Amino acid sequence: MFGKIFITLCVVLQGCIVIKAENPVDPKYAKTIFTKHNVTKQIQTFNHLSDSELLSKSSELLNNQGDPLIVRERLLFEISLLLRSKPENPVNQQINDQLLSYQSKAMWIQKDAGYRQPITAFPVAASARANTINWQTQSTIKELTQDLNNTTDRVIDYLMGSNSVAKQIVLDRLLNSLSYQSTLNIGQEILRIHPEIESTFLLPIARTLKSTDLYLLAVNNYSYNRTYLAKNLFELTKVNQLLPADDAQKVLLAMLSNNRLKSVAIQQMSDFIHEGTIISKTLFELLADPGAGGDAAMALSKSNDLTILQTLESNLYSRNPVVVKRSILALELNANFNAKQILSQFIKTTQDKQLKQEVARWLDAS
Amino acid sequence: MARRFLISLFHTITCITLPLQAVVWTYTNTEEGINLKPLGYQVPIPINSLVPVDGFRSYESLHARHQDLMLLSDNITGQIIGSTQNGRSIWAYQLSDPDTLIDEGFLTEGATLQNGGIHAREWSTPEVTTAIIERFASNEADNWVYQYLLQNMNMIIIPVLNVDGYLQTQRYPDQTLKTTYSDDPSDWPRDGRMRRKNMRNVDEELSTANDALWGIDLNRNHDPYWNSSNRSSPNGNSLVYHGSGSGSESETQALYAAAALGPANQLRFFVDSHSFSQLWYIGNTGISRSNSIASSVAQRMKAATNHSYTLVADSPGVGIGTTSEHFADTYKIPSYILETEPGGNGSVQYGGYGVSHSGFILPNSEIDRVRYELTNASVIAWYMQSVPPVVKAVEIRRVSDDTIVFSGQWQATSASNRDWVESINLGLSANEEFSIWVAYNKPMRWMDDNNNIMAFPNTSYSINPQFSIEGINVNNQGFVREFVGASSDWLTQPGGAGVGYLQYKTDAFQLTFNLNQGIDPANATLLALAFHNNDFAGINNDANPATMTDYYQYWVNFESSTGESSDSGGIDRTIRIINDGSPDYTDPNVVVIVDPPVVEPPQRESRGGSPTVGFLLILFMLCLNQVRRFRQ
Repeated sequence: MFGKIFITLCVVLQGCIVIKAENPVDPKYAKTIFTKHNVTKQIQTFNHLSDSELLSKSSELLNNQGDPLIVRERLLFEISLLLRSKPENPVNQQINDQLLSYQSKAMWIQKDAGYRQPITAFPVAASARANTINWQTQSTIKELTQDLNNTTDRVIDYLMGSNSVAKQIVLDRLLNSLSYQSTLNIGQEILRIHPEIESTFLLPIARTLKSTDLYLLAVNNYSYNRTYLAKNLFELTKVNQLLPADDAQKVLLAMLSNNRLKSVAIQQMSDFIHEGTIISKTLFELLADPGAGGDAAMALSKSNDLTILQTLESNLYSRNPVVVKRSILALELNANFNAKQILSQFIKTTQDKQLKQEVARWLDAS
Repeated sequence: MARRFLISLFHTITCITLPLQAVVWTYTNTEEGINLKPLGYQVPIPINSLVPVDGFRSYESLHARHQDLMLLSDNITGQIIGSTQNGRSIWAYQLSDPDTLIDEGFLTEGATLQNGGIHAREWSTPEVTTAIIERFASNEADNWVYQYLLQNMNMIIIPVLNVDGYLQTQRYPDQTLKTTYSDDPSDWPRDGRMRRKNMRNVDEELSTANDALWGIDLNRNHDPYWNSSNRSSPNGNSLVYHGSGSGSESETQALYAAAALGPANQLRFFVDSHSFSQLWYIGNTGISRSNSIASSVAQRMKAATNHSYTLVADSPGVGIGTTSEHFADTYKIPSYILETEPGGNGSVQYGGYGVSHSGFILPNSEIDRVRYELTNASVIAWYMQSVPPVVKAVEIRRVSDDTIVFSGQWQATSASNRDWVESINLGLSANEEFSIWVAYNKPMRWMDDNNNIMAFPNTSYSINPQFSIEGINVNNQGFVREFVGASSDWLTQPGGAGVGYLQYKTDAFQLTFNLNQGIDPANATLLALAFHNNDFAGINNDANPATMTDYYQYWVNFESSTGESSDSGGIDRTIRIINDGSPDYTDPNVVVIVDPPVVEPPQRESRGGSPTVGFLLILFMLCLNQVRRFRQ
């Protein structure tokens, strides 16, 4: 009897596992399914297959409805990853084309995001797209550098051509592979003949060469381009680290004239706050700016220079309420002993009840 | 106590004895290689900037931004509501004018609470909560919906609850650990950029792999369903470890402290912001009317996101220990878990390569739009939960000589009542041109940046103003004449009855009308104005302005056309130019003379009222007393 119960239990459990192999799958049970179908071993064999054998395998997986969906898609996904390191040739392209047009259906319940929401387990087509971009990038770079005598002209013509997201990727990889001299030639040619080139392409070259002139040109040419702008902005957050102090300050001051670059410029100015310099004067003037003043306060808060703190203290009694409040902000963000002393004195002398309350509350909490 | 000790012991033992192999993964744009995870787009790195950028700001910048806005604005106050495991302050900000009453006085403002950054790796949520504060700060004197909300609501925002965890993700913005934990699939990342939980017993070094799995899931730490399902875990290594007890974490206590700023009994709305999956989970309050309201609000929030988010209602009586379950159950208010985009395809939605968990890494290029849409979602939700629309004032002028022929307004006299104060009533006449100015208690229409009236994005509620003149003539025949204007008849310039808005842009409209086609006020025994306008969330006006509307689990004193308690309003027929003394809510299309209903209409001194049942009882007792005395 117990034997019958045991067998029944096994059948039921196996049924549960079969049921769990349906869509969507609990990731915990997916592990069991993968083990049952020797997925790890199969993946290891892929590495030893020739390109045409891999094509056969891929076709077999696409046509085979026998194995569970999640197993097939896992294997197809692994094939797409394997193609990353393979050269572009007709057979590999054929495999990739198969995967590009495949629509993933296997879902699993990801417990840690939208906790009852199924998500795509293996995005095969998206992964294949990465291969396409890789191969295109490689062939573009090969084309641009095949004749070292006219690399400069070819690169500049390429950059002046129509826009695409892939261009940024090509340029980044190209700069990693070119010699310093080749990159310098491109930079000099741009400055000499093609100063109209987009910021997007100027900035990586400027970064590689640590060229102040190219940075200044990039800032001058900076315009809103949604596809590229996030990367552009990030490139301009490193000016203070890459350029000598005087040059960095020049570039940062130039960035102030563009509203989209103002805040990131101001934050980097904190590295150059010295009493009497243009930078600190600029930051104090910016405190009154409705938009940029908060950034100026944060930049000034990074300084423990006594003269900076004293200037902030005198600002607390300014007639401009915005300057008063931004100076309070700078002192609160600084929060060192001297700053707290200044604020403690302020709440004894100020007539502004609301400010007194807010600063007192901050002092208590700090 | 013993139970908690045993749980902690179990936690400690499992954490020490589980073998741990950790590999550092690095997210890249497109670079391939061992342990490199190409996303297919620029890896977001925190940027130092107080103002919004096309990217994600550092925590230091976000905090400075909140403090800056708080200092600059009289309508933003901030306080420390608690501290994290590592002793960092957790701030909440209240968006509200300095007083605690609505515009009309007497009634306390309703409150809302929105939480961000509870799960560390969900970077879009601190940006969304910050964007909300920024939107209100830059529009606080707009004489429109933002000023209205600041003056009539107390909106509480916690931009980042799990500060320790968020800083950990920003400390390692492109790195995470792939750990081996028996309950996780083989490619689940933990710690670094992918930290989810708080930092209890976790150091800030990514290289310390042993503590990578530790911490408490702050969205499993709540009653009433703490530790009641298999979607939270008693195992300290689990991604959904629920902690040693409900509310055990200091961050959880900070959230509850923020609720008390409402104060708690004034809360009408709660959202806990997360990513990803692109949906709203709607908490179950256990009360049918409350759940309907929650669903209705969710529909409008969904419209703000171009209907791209799914709505999922929680099942009654079960849960997994989340914040929204706690708030729905405790306060019986619309409570949600917001899961921002992307949807189930993760970053593939944006052309990414679909690397595991890349759904948590929203591309820099998308965050500006997400901020904008989800701020709109909160705005319309808070607008709905403020007060329903109610007619406040009416003035009618004869066009030929600009004489005011009718004028009156509703004035609040207590927290529950308004009185109709009529200053002029010269009546109307047939075949003459009149203009009517009607003012409401709130802005009634959405506008674009150029003050052009439009429907709220992706909604189709009527935007044209309308009113009717209804009545009964001497032959006991009812009549109705409707007048509908154009959307541009809503007023966007100041001026009051002299033709502008009363207090907020689009809180009033003006139409011209002519009573012809057989309607002669001289032959009317009843002549009433009827208003049936919805606000921009599609909520109809209160049918009875005599009662002040409040909220407790659902709307109180918000009446339908027949005078019944409702959550959707109706036709306001309370303003009468010729009053036949009939009860309110008379539908002139049904000309039936009925006895006064058992439920007495509210007393209004200007019209006199029927004696209440209580008054009759007192009279009876007095008479009885007199009879007894007489007999004695």
